[in-house]
Parts: sequence; C-alpha cells; structure tokens
Amino acid sequence: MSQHSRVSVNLLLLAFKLMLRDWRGGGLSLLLLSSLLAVATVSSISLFNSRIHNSIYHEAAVFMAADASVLGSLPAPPAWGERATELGLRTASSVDFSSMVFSDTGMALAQVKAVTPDFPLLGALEISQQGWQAGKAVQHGPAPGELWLAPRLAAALGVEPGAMLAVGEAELLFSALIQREPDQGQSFFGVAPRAMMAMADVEATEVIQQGSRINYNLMLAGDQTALADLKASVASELGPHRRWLAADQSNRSVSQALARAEKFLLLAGSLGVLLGCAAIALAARRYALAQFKTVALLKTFGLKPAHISALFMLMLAAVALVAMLLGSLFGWAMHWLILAALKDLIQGEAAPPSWSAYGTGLVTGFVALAAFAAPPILALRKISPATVLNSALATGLGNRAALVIASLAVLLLIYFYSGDVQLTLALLIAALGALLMLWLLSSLLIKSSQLAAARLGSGWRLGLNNLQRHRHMNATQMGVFASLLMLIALLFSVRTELINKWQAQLPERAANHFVFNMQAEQLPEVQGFFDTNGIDYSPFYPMTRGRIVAVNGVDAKELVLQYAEQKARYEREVNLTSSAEMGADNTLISGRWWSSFDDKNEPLLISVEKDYADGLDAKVGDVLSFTLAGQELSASIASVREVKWDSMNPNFFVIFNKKLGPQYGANWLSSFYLDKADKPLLAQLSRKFPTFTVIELDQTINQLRSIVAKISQAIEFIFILILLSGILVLIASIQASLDLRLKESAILRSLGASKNLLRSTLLIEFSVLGFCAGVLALVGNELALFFLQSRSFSMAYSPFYMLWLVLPLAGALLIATVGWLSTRKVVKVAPMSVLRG
Amino acid sequence: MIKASDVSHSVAVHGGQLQILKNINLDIHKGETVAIVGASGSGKTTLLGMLAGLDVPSSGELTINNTSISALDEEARSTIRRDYVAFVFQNFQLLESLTALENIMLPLEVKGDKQAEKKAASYLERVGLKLRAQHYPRQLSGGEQQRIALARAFACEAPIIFADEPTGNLDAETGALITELLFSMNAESDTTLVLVTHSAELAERCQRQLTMHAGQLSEHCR
Repeated sequence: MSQHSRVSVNLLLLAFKLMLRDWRGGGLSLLLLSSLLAVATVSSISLFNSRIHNSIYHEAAVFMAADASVLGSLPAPPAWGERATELGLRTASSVDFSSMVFSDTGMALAQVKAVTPDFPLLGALEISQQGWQAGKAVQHGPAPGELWLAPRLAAALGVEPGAMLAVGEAELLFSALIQREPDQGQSFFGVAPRAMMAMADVEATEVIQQGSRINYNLMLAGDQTALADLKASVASELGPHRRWLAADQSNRSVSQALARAEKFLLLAGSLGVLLGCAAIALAARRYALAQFKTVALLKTFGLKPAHISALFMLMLAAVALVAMLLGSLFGWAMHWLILAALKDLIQGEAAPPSWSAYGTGLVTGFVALAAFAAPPILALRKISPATVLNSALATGLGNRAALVIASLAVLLLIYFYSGDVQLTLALLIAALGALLMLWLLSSLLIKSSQLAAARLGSGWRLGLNNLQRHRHMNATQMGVFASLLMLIALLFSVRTELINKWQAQLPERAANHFVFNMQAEQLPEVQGFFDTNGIDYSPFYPMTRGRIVAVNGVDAKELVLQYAEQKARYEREVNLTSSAEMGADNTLISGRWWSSFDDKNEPLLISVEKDYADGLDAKVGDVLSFTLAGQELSASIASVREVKWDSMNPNFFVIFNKKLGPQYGANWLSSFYLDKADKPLLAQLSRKFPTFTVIELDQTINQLRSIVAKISQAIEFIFILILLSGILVLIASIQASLDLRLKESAILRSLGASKNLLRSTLLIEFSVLGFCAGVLALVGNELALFFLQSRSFSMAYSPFYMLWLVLPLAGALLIATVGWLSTRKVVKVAPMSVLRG
Repeated sequence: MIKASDVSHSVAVHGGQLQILKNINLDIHKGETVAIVGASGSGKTTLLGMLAGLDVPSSGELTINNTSISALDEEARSTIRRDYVAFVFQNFQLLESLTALENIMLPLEVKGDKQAEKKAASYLERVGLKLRAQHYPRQLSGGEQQRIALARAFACEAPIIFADEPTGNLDAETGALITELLFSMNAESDTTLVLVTHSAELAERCQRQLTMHAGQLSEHCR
C-alpha cells in the first residue's frame, strides 16, 4: 500500500474512532440532532405541502371533472384523443348546446350536455329519483336512450322520472334527477337548467345543424407530465376557437384561493428551511468551539492541518449521511402523523405527494450542512497547537467569506423551495432591514441600559451589566431571537390575513344563486317573492350585452392583438350595466366615481375594470365605443376599478353612469342565498317566472369552502410545526451560552450572591434581550409583510398594529421563559463542581 | 538535540509590541534533563512552546535534531512534532470523551500505530492505573489524570519530552509521586526532558537549571 493510501486509511480509522467516542461523549449528538430535525422538519412540511397541494388541485380537477380540458366552439381533432391515449391519458368528451325539451304537459329551454361513457373522468355525478334529495354517486352519464334532468328543469316541465321527453327529434326516457354535477361551475352566464344525455343519441336529436352554437369539450386526466406533453404538442393548433384549460384555471375564485394557499404553504416551508439552517448553524458552531482543545492536542501529536480538515470533514460527512437518511425517514413518519391528526378535516384520502417532495429535505440538509456546518469545522485547521499551553492564543471561528456563502445558500434554498423570486426577495429585504436595525438598536439599547442600571436594584444592575459585558454574544443572540420572532410573526400575520380574507369573502350566507333575464316590470314581484320567503338577496342590476369596437376611434382589434392576454374576452359580448353606486367589492384605482346618476345634464361616462382596461391600453379620459343590440354607443372612461371577482356578488367589466334605455334590450339580474332545505323554492320561482334564468352556484361555493377549510387547517398545523421548530432553535441558541453562564454564576455564588439574585439577573437579562428582539422582529415583519402582501399575495399592505405592542412583550415573555427553563441549572449546580471543571 | 540561536519573540498588544523573549541562546543535548524556572510571566512557557515547534519566534533560529523548525510551515512542523516530541501539560489536557486507555492510545492512533492498544495498556500498567482503563477523566483525581498524561507522553516513544508545570496543579504529595514517575520513566526511555516549573524540588532533579527573567535566559551553574 502506498504512503498516501496508508495515510488515508489511517485517517478514516481515526475519524471513525473519534466520531464514535465523540458521539458517546455527547459532543456530536447536538449537531446530529439539529441536522436530523432540520431534515425531518423540512421533509415533513414538504411532503405535507405536496399532499395538500395535490389534494386541493385534485379537488379543483374534480371540480372540472378532469385534470385538463380542451374547450371550444370547434371539436378537437380525433388525432388529439389518440395522442392523449398514447401518452397514457384517459379521455372523455362532451357537447353542450341549448335546446327545448318537451314533455306531454310543457316545454322548457335546457342546456343539454351530451357525454361519452367515460364521463366524468374525475369526481362523480349524484343522481336521485326525487328533486333536491341526496343522491347516489355514479361515475357515468345516462345510458343511450335516457335523459337526466336538473330538478329545476323537471319542475318546470312538470315531470317525474319515468316520463318520455323529446329533445329535438329524439324521444328519451327521463330516468334520473341530477343533484350534483362535477363540472357545473364551468360556465357562468347564459346557462339554462341542465339536461344530460348520451353522446350516442345526439345525432338522433337532429338539433345540431350548421351554424348551431355548440361548445365542445375534450376532457383529459392522468399524469401531469403527459398532460404537459400533450399541451405542448397541440398548443400551436388550438387557434382562436379552442382553449386549453387546466384544473387550477377552471374557476377564478378557486384559482385565486389556490394560488394564495400555495404561496402561504411555500412561505411556511421556506421559514421551516430557514429555521433548519439556523439550528444547524448554531449546533455546528457549538461543536466547533468545543473542538478547540482536541484540535490543538491532535496538532501536538503531529497531525497536519490538512489532515485535521479531512478528519473533521469525514465526521461531518458521516453526520450528514445519517441525518439525511434518518431525517427523511422521520420526516416521512411525521407527515403521516400530521395527516392522521387532520384526517377528520381532510375528507377522503389525501393525494400522494410528488416525488420532488421526498428530495426537498435531503437537498436542504445537504446544502445547510455544507453552507453552515462545514465553514466553522474547516476553520478548525487554523487553530494553533500553542493553544494547549495558552488558551488566549485561540482565534475565533469568524470568517466573512463563510458568512457570505451561508447567506447565499439560504437564499438559494428558499428559492429552490418556493420557486418564487418575490417571496425570496421579500425575506431577504426583511432580513437586511432587521440586521441594520440590530446593529443600531443593540448598541443603543445596551448603552442606555448601562446608564439606567446605576439607578436600579442589584438584580437589574447585574442583568443589564451582563448585557453590556456580553455584548457580542448578546448581539448574536438578539439577532437569532429577532429572526425567530420575525419568522413566527410573519407566519402569524400572513395566516391571519389570509384566513380572515377568505372568511370575509365567503361568509356563511353568501349569495349562492344568480337570477337574470328579469324585466323591469317584474322586479317588484320578484322582490315580493324573496321577501315573502325570507330569502336574502343583493340589489338588482340592469344588464345588457355589448361588444367593444373602438378605443378613441381606433379599432379595438388592433389594440387587443397588441396588449390583451385574454383576447377572446374582447371578441365576444360582455355584460354591461349601469349603477349609481360602486359595489363594495370594487376598489377605485384611478379617476373618480360619478356624483350623480342618470343625470341628463352629464355626459355618458363609464367605469371600467382594470384588467379589461389594460387589455385595450385604455385609461381615464379615453372613449370606448360599444355595439349594443346593433347600435353603437360611446362613452368616456371616468374611472378604473379593481374587482374582487371571488366575492360571489354580481360584478361587471363596464358600468355606465346612466340607465341604458329599452332600445338596448336590458334585463335585470340579482343574486340570492338559498339554504339546501329551501331548494324546492327554485321550482316555485321557475314556475312563477318561467323566463328567468337561475344559476345554482351552491355546489361551487361548497367546493370553495371545502378547499378553504382544508387550507386553513393545513396552515394552522404548519404554523404550530414551525413554532415548535423555532422554539427548539431558541433553546439551542441559549444552550450555546450555558457554559459561560455556569462559570459566571459559580464565581458570583462563591462571592456571596444568592440564588434569588442570580435568578432575577437571568430573568432580567433574557427579558430585556427578548424585548429588544421583539422590536427588531417588528421592523423585519412589517418590511416583509409589505412586500409579501403587495407582491406575492396580491393583497393590499395592511400593517399588523396588534403586533406592534404584542411582539416586544411576547418576545420578552417567550425568551425569558425559554431562557430561564434552559439555564435554570445555573443557580442549582454547586459552584465548586463548576470551578473545578 | 535542541538548539536555539538568538531567538526573540514579541506580540502585538494595545499600544505597541510586548517582547516576551529576548535573544535566547540555548543548546540541549540528547538525554539531558533541563529545567526552566522563573517567575510567572517571565516567558518560560512561551519558550517551551517555541522549542517544541508549537509556535514560531519573531526572529532567530530553532533546530531539532539539526532540522531548522523556525523556517518551516505548520505542515512541516507537525511532522517534526509527530516524530520527535511528546508533551505533558499542567492541566493534563486529557479529552473528556475518551477513557484513560483511549487517551493514551490517541497519539499512537494519529501515527497509525497498529499496536496502539497494546502499547497503551502496557504504559497504563506502568503508571499503576491498569484497573482504571475504562474510566473517564472526570472519574479520576488530578494525580491520576497526570499519570495518564505521563503514560500518553511516554507511549509516543518520542526522543524529547516537554513538560509544562507537570506538578503545577497538584498537591505536594501527589506532585512528588508524579515527579518520581516522570524521572523514572525518563530514565527508562532515555529521552531528553525539558520542563518548565516553579517547583524547586523538580528543578533540583534536573541536570541543568535555566532561569528565565524578563525574557532572557541564564544558566544556573552547579
């Protein structure tokens, strides 16, 4: 064996022996435990997040009865279905068209949906034999020759299951009532009650003719990669008549809720990553500091600096391997515990996590150990062997380059975890802001406490003098405490804001039905119907359909081609209304709302929704021209608004300041809340006002509430997990100063200080540290909130005033409690045993 | 064996430089026992560290076995230490996480000695602590710990033993025991012994006595 190989083998053996002995002595255990916990925490949060994400997206997909759809006014070419099958995807098709349905006693307009046998691909239909009753779930549509009706349609036709009905030229047996349809919420306006039939019967109806308005839907379900492949291969052929719709885009309210939830879960996970890194950094530093004597001794035995590095890096590699493997295993077990704890709230099986979630903890552990543990351990090679004779010769482990590397590693990890540049930058800015404040505040507070100490009792004097004496250690600890408090406060602020926002937008009795096609002369009667039956309803809005044709005389098509992301919106008619008041869920962004309504002396003005205006590059003062009922109408933009589309209230892209006359064919709409028990009232409404169109959104809203409930619970649980991780890091940080405190306490007690004095000194020191840390955390929290709320969560920045008082006080209480519990042995241990070493 | 030529050393302190060693000249031959005595702060321990290659002087030359160590980098000096030098410290410097036997084995393991355990056991027996092999330093008295330290130093079978106040932390009786053990093992191993001490009794046992005063070295003639 060569000399080099012999040295390598020797080093390996030595590393193994030292590691076992160190482990036995407890030296390595804190580092291993911190690394293990960091990997386990990040793994469990990552796996849990992934499951929740997939479950929620699965629910959104069920909402759409598929993972993705190709929708349009033209059918998808058969080759696309074949390609989908080749990729391992399941497919189903549907065709939507309006048609009259005839019974022996009446007729009604229906929105007919013809489906292939595989429909629905996801979720289930619920059918029953009686109106508005709980149905049984089925995963198929009607058989050929059969027709299923929405209860409202059956009531309008005056029929019960078993009756023969006619759709076009086809005679079909009415065999069941549809209680729930998975993709009901797809289309919003212009929907008559549902009739469902088999695709095989469509030809027999002879309803579909050239020029008929038909909506075709090719539904797809399966592996996300396969879906992405299919989308890429058909994207260029979609054209203006078809569009690809993914599950998370199927409903604007759902997609907004999903997007925010996703960001929050990512934020929580990122903070978990940060805490994991902090735990590893603290433990590694403590371990390295404890190795000074060992390294100096080994050098006196003739071990070279390069071999010192190799020795300790081997040990670190072994720790990393064990931490990553065991940590991933524990993380996997922990996430199952979380799921078990939430099983009553997460209905049904949680979707499996994505494969990448398994690797997140591993990557985090590896990067954190490399960036935070390796530098102080590598710095050990610089320890002079003369330290064995004179410990004053020992240099610190500080290394500016290592600090920069560690900071970059943290940013990289957060970006890797969240994939969100804005979130990463927000946390970076918050950290920098807090660090700046730390530098200013720690000097100021410690100096001023020194001045105050002279006037106070001995406990306060000792406590505050300790702050000054250990200013470097305290500044570090203050930074650690402040970071932890800031992270926890941030999570709390964002969580509370999100949950409050969701609950505000979906109050218990939020409108779950829309009614339109009402004529002005019918409104009092409708109002009377609602009032008599105790139904909550929103104001009535006039509505007409119109299409944009020009902006300041320029053809709208040119502008749309240049500026608009959703071009289809401008090619078809949109709903226009007029109103004296701006809706409560609208926010004025520019311009002014009109002071008088329907004033003949005022020019015709409009208020335009922001996205709609952006798509035309239109602003306040521009003149938009519409074609309504074959007539052209122009109006100047008075204001631009932001609309909360997920508020479930009627909202419009364009609002006029004057009533639109009868020549424009306006009808009226409103929304109302109907309890499940009151659903039969819909039949009464339909019979009383057969020309009205009612959209039943209760299923959509229930779906949304279910998603929000799941997300809220997940957020609560992760918040607790992060809080626990934070407390562990806090304890590790305080433990790092334990040796010094033990020695000082022993000396003070040998000089006659009582246990009470020492106890109060410790409590005062930790309380003041915690208070200062709370102030720092406040600064960082508000900075981060500003960026996160406005950029990542699309919410208006709102300072969390409650935290301005609570955070410093909570910081003082938390740090004092944890600090005291972690260091109370300082007053219990016999001074002699400490002084003897 | 060990030679110092015009060795001086100063360190930076607040306000300037503090000279610890001034023009030290010294020649120690193989097999000699040399005591360096002097008041606290006279520079004895600093000189010991320089002679052993633990640190480099600001100026002058140090040689061990005709190899100039003051010009070498830390990597090369570590090789010299591995081959020529062993230590006994005032604070024993045993590793708390290792048993008595493992502490003695450590320098042998660093050298890759395959007989480390056997040799360590034999030296443990030599110092009369065979039955304490599996005990940790915290379970041993000061005297017992220093005996382990002696066993560790002599187990290295290095030609030169440096001892820094080997009885400094011990009571008189224990100190006498350690002194006896140190010199008997030294005689058995035929090692060169250089020690720093405040103890007149320990200094008397050495063949040569050197006195450090204000950074300068003088020899006490017998």
